[in-house]
Amino acid sequence: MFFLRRSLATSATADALAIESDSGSPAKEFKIMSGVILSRPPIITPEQTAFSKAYYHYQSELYKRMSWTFPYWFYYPKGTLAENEYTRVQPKLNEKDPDVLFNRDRNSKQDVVFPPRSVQRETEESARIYAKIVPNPRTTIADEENNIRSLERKLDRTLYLIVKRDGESLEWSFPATTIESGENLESSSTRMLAQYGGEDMNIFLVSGTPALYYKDVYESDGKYEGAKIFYLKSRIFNGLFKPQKESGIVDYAWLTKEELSSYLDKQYWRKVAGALSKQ
Amino acid sequence: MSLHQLSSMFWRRSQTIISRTAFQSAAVSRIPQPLHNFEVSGVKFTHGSLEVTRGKRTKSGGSSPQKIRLVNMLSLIGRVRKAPYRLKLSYEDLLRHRTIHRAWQLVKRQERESRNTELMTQYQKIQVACDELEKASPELFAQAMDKPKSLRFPPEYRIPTETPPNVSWDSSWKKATLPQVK
Repeated sequence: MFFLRRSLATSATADALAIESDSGSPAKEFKIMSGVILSRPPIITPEQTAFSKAYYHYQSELYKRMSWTFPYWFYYPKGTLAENEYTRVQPKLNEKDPDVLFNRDRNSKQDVVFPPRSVQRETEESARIYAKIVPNPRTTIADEENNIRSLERKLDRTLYLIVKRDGESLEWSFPATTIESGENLESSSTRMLAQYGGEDMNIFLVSGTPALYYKDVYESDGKYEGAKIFYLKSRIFNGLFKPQKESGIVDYAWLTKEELSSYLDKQYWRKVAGALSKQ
Repeated sequence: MSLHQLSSMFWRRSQTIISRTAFQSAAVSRIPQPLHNFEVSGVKFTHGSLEVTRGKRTKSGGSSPQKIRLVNMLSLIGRVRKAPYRLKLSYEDLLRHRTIHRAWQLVKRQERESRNTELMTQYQKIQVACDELEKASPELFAQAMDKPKSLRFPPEYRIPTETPPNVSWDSSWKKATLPQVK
């Protein structure tokens, strides 16, 4: 069955080729190009949904209910000043209640209250060590300004680089270049990135195997009928994409997957979307 | 082991000890001796060499500070007097708990499945690209299929954290240039 199908398929393509050659028009070639899907991996975790927040809260409350009593007698030994400070801040429970043991009601959750840090002699170093940790905000200035050229925007998402080159068509697309003689996909794409964006980018090429194929058919009559572009995936870790002179780059942007859909040509987007990451 | 068994065991053991030291008396009086009657043999029951020394205080004086510290530390490991009472949920609470748990599992499943389909489409894109490359240029395809001899996983990869680091992006990164040799 398998062989039969295969033979049918090959004969069909052979017929198609025969028809093409019969029509008499000179078969123009497709230019082979290599491109790069350069992405910035997410720096922070995805935004929590209201449901996941509520679920984690529920779990933590359950944990407090089921956890063992905090053994304060080990951390605040009996008869010390530390113990005195600890007991002062504890909520008073009825010791005669049979459910209460070690100042914990064993039928309900336990919230451990620690005494505030008392400092006799604060030094510069101790102040630095014990300073309250303030977490950095999840949104940056680039987010507020919606600076699409910044790499500090949308820290919880993967950002993809698209460029606009003055050439045959002035459209947004992933950077691509023609493969010169003696080059393969990998070498030509690394050469292109340095040529377009400069040397000061710490880039990791994930693989030399193409991750995406796009067939671009040229409308205007030229040497080539169109271009077959093979994209490689790569990641940027440090540095900036700075458009170089004589590279022909008019504009560039770092965008998430949804944003790309409004920037890219519809047909191009349809072919490209499957290779990109949602997060 | 019941008390009855224990006492009979001790009795038998003590009999052998006695027989070693005072076998003559045992030989003389061949009266069958009933068990459990300590008085009959005429020997008062003592532990003798059987005395259990484990757990017995060997030094005078109360608990030492070392001992207190040990007991204190052991008290951290055990659940004794530290474990709360068992959580008893009413039928409705149990139902609520299970609903929450099922909803969470459902969300996780949807996430997992969407991630799997995403990976599958990405993989299909790779397959199509490779097939097309083979048709377009066999030489380029052969080079693309070459596996690198040594893989270097970039140490710059970092696991996403809940909040960004102090410097969220290093913009001043420069490509290292080798010093010029004169």
